[in-house]
Amino acid sequence: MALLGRRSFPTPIVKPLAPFIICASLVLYTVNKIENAAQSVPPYDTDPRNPKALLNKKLKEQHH
Amino acid sequence: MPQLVPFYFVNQLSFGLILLSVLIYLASKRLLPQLLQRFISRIFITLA
Repeated sequence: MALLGRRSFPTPIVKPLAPFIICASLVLYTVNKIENAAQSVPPYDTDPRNPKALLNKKLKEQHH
Repeated sequence: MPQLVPFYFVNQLSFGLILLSVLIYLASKRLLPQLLQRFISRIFITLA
């Protein structure tokens, strides 16, 4: 692959960085879980930025 | 502070990981080998 007329060198990337790639995907999955948990708890459950804000408001009104 | 608001966690992380992977790819495939080639060439062409 030549970009701007310069060649690229055959450095190995996937094999040496495989543990970090696996860890990064695990971290991404965990952070997604944390985000979902944090979004479903007050005060963020009725925050206007939350796509489920209206749904959570309705559910809260039904319970009360 | 937007970094602490839970709606932006995954977005932040994704952007960070993409940026990091692009930087590592460019550095390991292009920039660092070019630099190394330059330094080794300078050593080889030096007579003394």
